[in-house]
Amino acid sequence: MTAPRMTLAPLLFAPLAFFAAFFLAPMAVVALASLTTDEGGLTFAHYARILLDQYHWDVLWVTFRIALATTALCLLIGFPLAWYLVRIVRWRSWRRACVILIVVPLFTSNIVRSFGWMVLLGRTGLVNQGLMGMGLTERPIRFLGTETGILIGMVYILMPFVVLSVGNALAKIDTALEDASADLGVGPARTFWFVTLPLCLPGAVSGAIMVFALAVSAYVTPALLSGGQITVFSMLIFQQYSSVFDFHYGGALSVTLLVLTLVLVTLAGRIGERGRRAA
Amino acid sequence: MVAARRLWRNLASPTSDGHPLPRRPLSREDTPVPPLLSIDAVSKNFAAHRALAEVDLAVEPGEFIALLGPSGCGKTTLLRCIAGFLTPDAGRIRIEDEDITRAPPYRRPLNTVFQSYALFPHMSVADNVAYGPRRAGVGRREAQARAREALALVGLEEMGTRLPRALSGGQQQRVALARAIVNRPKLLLLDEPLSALDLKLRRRMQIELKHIQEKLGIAFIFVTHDQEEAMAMADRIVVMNAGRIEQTGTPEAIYRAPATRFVAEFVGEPNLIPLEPAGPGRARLALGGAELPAASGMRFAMARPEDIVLVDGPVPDDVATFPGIVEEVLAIGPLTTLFVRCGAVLLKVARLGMSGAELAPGSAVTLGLRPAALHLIAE
Amino acid sequence: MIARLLIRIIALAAMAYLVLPLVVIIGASLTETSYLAFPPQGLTLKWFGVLFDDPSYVSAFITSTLLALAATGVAVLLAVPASLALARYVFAGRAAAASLLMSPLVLPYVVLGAALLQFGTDFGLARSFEALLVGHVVIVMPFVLRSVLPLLTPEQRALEEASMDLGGTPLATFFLVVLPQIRGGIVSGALLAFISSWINVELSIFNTTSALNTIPVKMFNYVQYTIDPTIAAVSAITIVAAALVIILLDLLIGLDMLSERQQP
Repeated sequence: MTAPRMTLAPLLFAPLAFFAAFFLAPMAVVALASLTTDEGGLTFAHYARILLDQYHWDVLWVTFRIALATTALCLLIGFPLAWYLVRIVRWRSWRRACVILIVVPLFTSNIVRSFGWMVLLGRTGLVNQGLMGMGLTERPIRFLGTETGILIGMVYILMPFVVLSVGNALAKIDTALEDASADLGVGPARTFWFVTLPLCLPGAVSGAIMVFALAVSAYVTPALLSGGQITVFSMLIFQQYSSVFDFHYGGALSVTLLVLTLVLVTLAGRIGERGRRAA
Repeated sequence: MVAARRLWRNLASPTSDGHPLPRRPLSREDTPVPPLLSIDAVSKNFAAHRALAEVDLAVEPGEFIALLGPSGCGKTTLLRCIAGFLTPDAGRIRIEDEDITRAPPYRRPLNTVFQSYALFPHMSVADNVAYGPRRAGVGRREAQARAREALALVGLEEMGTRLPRALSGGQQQRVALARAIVNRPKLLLLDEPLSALDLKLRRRMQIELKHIQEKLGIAFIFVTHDQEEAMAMADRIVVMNAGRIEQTGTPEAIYRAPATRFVAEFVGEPNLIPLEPAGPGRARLALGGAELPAASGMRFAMARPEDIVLVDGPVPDDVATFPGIVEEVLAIGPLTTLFVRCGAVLLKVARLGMSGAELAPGSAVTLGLRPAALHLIAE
Repeated sequence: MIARLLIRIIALAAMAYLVLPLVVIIGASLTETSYLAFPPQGLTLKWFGVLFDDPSYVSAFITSTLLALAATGVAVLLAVPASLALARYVFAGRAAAASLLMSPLVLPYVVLGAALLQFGTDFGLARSFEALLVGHVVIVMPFVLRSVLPLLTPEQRALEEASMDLGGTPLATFFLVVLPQIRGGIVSGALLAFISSWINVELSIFNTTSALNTIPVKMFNYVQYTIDPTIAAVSAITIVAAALVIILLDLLIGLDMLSERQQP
């Protein structure tokens, strides 16, 4: 305060030192390993291996495909749910209960949530029983080990992010703006399109990019719901570190995923920031 | 009232914790004694912005000083330097010869009433007021007793157990005042303390604050951007602009004899009549061509709107008259302002009550003013 | 009107979708059959008994809890001063420091877990409680930071100045004025931190062993090969625990952020 620097240093020293030692240093070790050979020479061979191998491109493509579909479905279902909670529900206790129910999965382990779907989506699970009971299918549909199964689990896990970010944006919109639009003779559909949607778009976009980034790096859900049939990017990393023990190659994979995620998240941050400034 | 008097006695006599409050009459014989607060060439920059530029100021014990200026003029920065929330880049701040330029706020013998009141929301009103004495090492019961006295002084002895948010804005303002004076500071800093109150309450608090200040004999430095508030309360007004002190003086001096055009325009409504040089030691008024003695470099003659009168008939010798055309009439009840065009100059003429309100725009009138009453301004 | 009805239907279906797996797990944990069945056949708590008779589960419970407690404690001790520094001072690198401390929120945990394993191997720290702890501190600290920082407002700053002005030393000011104001943020941040540590798999899995195991990692390894009511029982416990924490948080800070229409 009177001597800002003197007070600042002790406050910030411990947290920064901790992060340097147990966050930046490990990351640096990984980055370094990804660029060196066993003998310690500089090489780009590990990255070349990722980029030149068709298998990796296939895995990346599957990972991205699942992430994209997850994001799209999250928006498609999450937006109406957010709208319902903010604009339609009038009974406060019910809204409160809904918000709690939406947040509970976020606070439960990925394992538990994926495990629930393993039970539901099994050959004799509730979903197949229901489908057969309604006569929609004659024999059980195989969900586990398919992208559909992974998708069901991923959307389930990540949708709360969209609901919360869109819901927050919606709740902040001054309804007087919509009244003003109606007052100027604009119908509800066009008011939504020209007033409401643009105002909550930044929230939706940053929520969506968040979901995409998390979906790209997801490990537990695909691992459990794929039944070993489908491989996504984070599984490659895990294999290298847990069974192959190739830290150089694993490092290159890690750095690739990290850079990808950081780019996406920065993008989301920029968009969110612009939305806040515009609002 | 009894409690108030007791506090008054405590403040006037040496206290239990051994801090006698200086009680000195404000007299000219006292000049060898250093002022209570002296500020010497204090400067403060925020990045490229010059917030304070070599400000000098001396405050005597018991004085009521108003720091007046538009927002961004540096008055709050100066106050925060005195309180210790900011450290000046250059210059010295002393209290009775003790250099406190770099002392932390908790070691300065002064207290502050904050613009937002800054009452601790998690403490009762009494605990808020007792906070200062407790930090000074006073025992719990004694601190509570002092808090009760201070609250009695501001008329809130019944409110001690409430939480600040249960109080009205005016009451919170009083608590903030009680909390700031309970430690018996030599100097009280007030940062626009009345700005959150509505006009009526504000007027009442101005009077009350002035009474409390006179009763306690504590020196007040009162930051405000409201010139009427400064005029009504202060012994001396310090007008600031762009990080500098434009003028320091009594309210009358500031009003009648502003040092600069800025002061003239910030305090009240001036008529600034341009001057042209007319030989050594003389200038010609751009209004009827009257000549008057003026030092070289004087560019304006200022007349307050109430200095100009409507003339109807013969006038004394020392009054100059000019013809003019009424352009607009603004009657607000207690005061009527006429805007009268006299050649190139548009003059504001103030009249008490509704007299002159009947004049229609376009009416021809004759104005009179005493050239001797004009105040000359260089820039 | 039709749009409204459609939104209602989608929203209620989505709510069902969100709740269904949790209901199934809790239901399945109560079945009397030795295989998973939903709806449960008969009602019994015997699978919870099996759980508590298994020392490996008990020790994993203890490890998870100790780990989450320790990580939360350290994170609070680091995050509170850090948030004071970030909220109070304008300094070169402030933005960089803030994003560094917040970055674990968005980082792939798999990458951090792998990095800590490799780093730990180099320094003899791998597969130890300490290795788990430092990793968990890194990932949970942002939660504390994020819930404390917004409370350090300019108004809060004015309170601190008032305290100093009245003679409060920095230490007295911290304990008497700052702490009471940010206590709610610390508690809710700590609860979030505790939970995220307790449920973490991706980070822990690299540094756990069969002797040093956390509940989620143990479940993960188990579920990949076997599905039985025991695992449903463990899951049910974590769901109920999470729900309790959330209700606590709701009472504490009000999670119902969607209902208060704030005016811009």
